[in-house]
Amino acid sequence: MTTRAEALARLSQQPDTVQPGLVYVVEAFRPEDAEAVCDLFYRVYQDAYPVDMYYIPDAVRGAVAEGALYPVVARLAGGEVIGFAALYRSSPPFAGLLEFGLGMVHPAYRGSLILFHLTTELMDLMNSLPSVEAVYGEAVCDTIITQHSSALFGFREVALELELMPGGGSGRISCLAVFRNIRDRRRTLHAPAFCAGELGKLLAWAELDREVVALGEESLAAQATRLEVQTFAHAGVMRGNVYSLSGDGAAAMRQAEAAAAEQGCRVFQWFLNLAEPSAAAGAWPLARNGYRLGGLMPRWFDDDALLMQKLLDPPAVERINLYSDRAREIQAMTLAEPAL
Amino acid sequence: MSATLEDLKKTFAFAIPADVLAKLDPAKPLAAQGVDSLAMTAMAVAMQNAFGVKVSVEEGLKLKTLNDVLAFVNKAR
Repeated sequence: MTTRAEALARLSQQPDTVQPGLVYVVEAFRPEDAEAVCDLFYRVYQDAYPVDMYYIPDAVRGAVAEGALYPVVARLAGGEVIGFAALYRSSPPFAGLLEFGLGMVHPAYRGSLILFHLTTELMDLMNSLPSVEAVYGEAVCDTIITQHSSALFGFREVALELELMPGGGSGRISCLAVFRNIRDRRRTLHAPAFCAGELGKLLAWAELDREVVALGEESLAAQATRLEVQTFAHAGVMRGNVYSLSGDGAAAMRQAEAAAAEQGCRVFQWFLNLAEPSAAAGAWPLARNGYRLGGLMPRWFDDDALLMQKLLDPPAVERINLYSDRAREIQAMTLAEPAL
Repeated sequence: MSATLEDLKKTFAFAIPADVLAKLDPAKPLAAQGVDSLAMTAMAVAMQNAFGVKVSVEEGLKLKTLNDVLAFVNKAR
C-alpha cells in the first residue's frame, strides 16, 4: 500500500496540466478519475490535507467501492479533474447518514460556477441513492456564505459546534451543523428535562416526526456502559458516541475526556443517543462537568443524538458569523449555562 | 418586467460579502473583484430561486461579470 509520503512525493513531481477557461462536464466519479482527484487535492491543499486517503488513488477507489465515499467531479476533456464534492461516511455511526462536503475547485477555476454545478449534481445523487437516508454538513462560521447556500439547498440548522476546526493563524472556526432528512419514520426520543425546551425547538425546525418523552435524572441505568471515542489530534477534537450508560458511565466519560486531553484535545463532544434513556441521562453528569448543549444531531445513531460539548478555552464568539435567526438562537443555547 | 442591477444586488445580499457587493463594478469580472466559488454558488442558487432561471455548465462559463448575469437573467426568464 502506498504511504502518504510516497503519494505526496509522486504528486509533487507531476506538472499541473490544467488550463483555465475550458469547457467541463460535471458527473459522478469514475474509477479512472482517482489519480486526477488526488492531483486536485494536492493542487488545492499542497501537502496539508489531514486525511491520507485523498492523496492515494487506490484508497480513493477503495472508499468509493465500499460505499464510504460518493464523489462527483468536474472533468475537462483531457481527464483532469478541476472540481470535486462528495457525500461521505464520517463520524456518525449510522451508515445511512452521510456528510455533505469536500467541495473544492482547482485554483485556475476559482470564482466560477463549478462548485454550484457540483453541489447540484450531488443533491441529485443524494436523492437517488437508496442507502442514503439523511445528510448533514458543517458550515463554517467565519463567513455566512456557506450557511446561506446550505439554507438555499434545503438544509436546516440543528447545532453549533463551537471552535471545531483550526483556522488560519491562532484562531479556530466554529461550524453550524445543518441537516436534511431524506427518508425517515416516527421515532421516540427521551429528552433530558433541563434541555427539553431547546430540543423541542430543534426538532420542530428540522421538521422531524418524533414522540418526545420527558426524561428525569433518576433515569434507570443500563446493564453496561457502551461508548466509542475518536480523537482528531490534528484538530484537537475528541468525539464520543454514547450508546448506553450504567453506574460507571459518568466515570468512563471523564476518563475518556482526560485521555483525549493528554493527546492534546481542547474541544470535547459527546453524542448521546436520545432513543436510549440511560444514554440521554448522561447529559446530567456532563453538564455538571462543564459541558453545555451543542444542539441536536438528527439520525446520528439512526436515532437522533443530543450533542453536549465542552471547550478548554473560551470560544471566540466575536468571530462567529451566523446567517439566520435560528442559528443565532442555537448559538444562545450553546452559550447558556444548563439550568439543572 | 426586466430585472435591474439593483434587483440582482438585492438578490445577492447574502451571497456576496457586503463589502465586496458594495464596490462591485458590473462591467468587471466577478472573480477579479473578490467573488469566490462559494459566493458564486450562493449567487446561482439565489438567482434560481428569485428569478426561476437555471444556469447550465455552458451558460455558466459565459457569466463573467454582473452585466453578463443580468443579461442572462433577462434572456432566460
